[in-house]
Amino acid sequence: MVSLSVRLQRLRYRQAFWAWVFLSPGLVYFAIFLILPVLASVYISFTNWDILTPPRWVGMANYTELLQNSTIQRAILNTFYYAAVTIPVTIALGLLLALALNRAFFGRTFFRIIYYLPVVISAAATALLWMWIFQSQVGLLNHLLAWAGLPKQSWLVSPLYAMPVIMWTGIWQSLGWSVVVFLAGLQNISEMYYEAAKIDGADSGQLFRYITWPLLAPTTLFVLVILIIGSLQVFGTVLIMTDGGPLNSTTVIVHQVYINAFQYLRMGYGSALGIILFLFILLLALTNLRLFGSSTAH
Amino acid sequence: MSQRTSPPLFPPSVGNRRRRARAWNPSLSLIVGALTLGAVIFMLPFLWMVLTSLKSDRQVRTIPLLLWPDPLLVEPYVRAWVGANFSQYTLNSLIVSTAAATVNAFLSALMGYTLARLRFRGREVVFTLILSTLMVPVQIAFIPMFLIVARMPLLGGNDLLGQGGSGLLDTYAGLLAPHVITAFGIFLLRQFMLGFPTDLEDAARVDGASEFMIFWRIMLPLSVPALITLFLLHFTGVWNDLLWPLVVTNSESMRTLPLGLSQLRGTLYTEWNMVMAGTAISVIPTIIIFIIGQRYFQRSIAITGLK
Repeated sequence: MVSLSVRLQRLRYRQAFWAWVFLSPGLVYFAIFLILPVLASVYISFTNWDILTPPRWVGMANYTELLQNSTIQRAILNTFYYAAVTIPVTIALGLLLALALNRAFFGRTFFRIIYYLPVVISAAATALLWMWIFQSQVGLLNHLLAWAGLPKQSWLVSPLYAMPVIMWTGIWQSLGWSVVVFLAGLQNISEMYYEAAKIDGADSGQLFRYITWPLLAPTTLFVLVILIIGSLQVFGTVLIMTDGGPLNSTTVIVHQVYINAFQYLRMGYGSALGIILFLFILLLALTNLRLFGSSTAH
Repeated sequence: MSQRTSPPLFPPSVGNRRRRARAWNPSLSLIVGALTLGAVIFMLPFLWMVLTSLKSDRQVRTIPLLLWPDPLLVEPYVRAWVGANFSQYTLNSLIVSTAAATVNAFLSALMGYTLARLRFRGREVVFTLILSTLMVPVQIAFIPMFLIVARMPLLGGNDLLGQGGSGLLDTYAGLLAPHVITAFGIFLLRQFMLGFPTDLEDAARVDGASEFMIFWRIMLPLSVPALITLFLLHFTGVWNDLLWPLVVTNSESMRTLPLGLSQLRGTLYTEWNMVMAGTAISVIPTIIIFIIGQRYFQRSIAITGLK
């Protein structure tokens, strides 16, 4: 008779064997389509490469050129401007709507679905929907302005208004997501805290300030980090609504990556900009996790 | 469900209750009013899309504004579907999104099962590695990814070294390439399967079932809710992707819907009724999917243990 320990040993080997068999297709895929590209991207960023002729090593040249180029500087500034406006607004409105929807009333689910709808459609569709509303000659908004006796505006062809319009579009698209995440966060807060505070005579402002806000901090942090990652990568709406114009007033980092790599065939330059973007994201995400992560560790 | 309306532990004094009741009702109707206003603003582009897509080009441009299409026209839809080739784009989007969502669901389940239920050395390392790939933005990987797809050995006229042809560029396989597995999917399924009691597979193992049989016969059927969630999320994600189809396709017949949409605008003159019809064709499937499966969408947040 085979002893129990030998059989257990055999079972363990068998499990380990099958575990690696099951993991291997996925791991090979990740290696080829994720890890290899990331490493290659670092290498390419140090070269001059137009795909047609072999890459030529140029060291840091792409990076120094990038940071001195005024269009790239503009793209970086625009990207941060976009993030700095859309993130606080999406968080504030998202939280406000979540607080409203967290109450019991008829039609709650209906509102939740409505606010979430823009999340499930493409950036391309989002861009076209709002381009049509903001169209300068016969767009709905200008019709409404004319009706109210106000002057029409050339929204997307104006260096002043084009970026705010793109920002509004971005907020419209991501707000529903932040509402749903905040709602999930709110429902994780135990009712006990509120009951206890009410007995102590806390008003609703105090309930929010001393219970909801601090206990929601991990959710807020999560929303913040995901929005940072998303907004620094804004691309689809920009490409379709303005293609970076007018006068580069709406060009953003990923737009420049795309233009340089696939329109000018400057793979090295484009890759270098991609890596700079990654460093921005990493830096901002880690800073936030550091700054606010400690205060959320209950 | 909100529990804020549950009875308090101690009955409040009568005066107190009356004050609360008076403060509660107007504020609730105020909230519902504000929510309704917000909802109208949120739905406005969709509403305007539908109305515009049923008008003629002349009706679209009349001043003063013509609110309701008169007569109702389906012609813009025909022009988008046939004339602008949206039938082909819809088919392409359907093929790529369905294939990506199916393969991703299966492989995520298999890997999630392995990482949640099997015991082997290196499990935590592999899991951490997979999770860390979530941080890599597509933008950093998509230039080399394009090159890898273009230089696939022995495919699309390429030789063994990946030279000479166009590889998987401009093919369904090329469109599919970056969407086959997602770290998020593995994470979602792993979290879901961690919750099953261990007796399930122990009993099967005693009966001599293989690890794959345990996965196929026990784990997969139990994971159906999580699989549906993942399928829907990934389907809409791939359906909506613009950047990758933009770089990986050349020919008009390989375009997906977002790419087709992005090219629909004329350089000098845009027929907005047709553009809105094309937009409607591209958004209606995901909206229907979302409305039918909305509890699955929201479940993903619960499963991944967002706290």
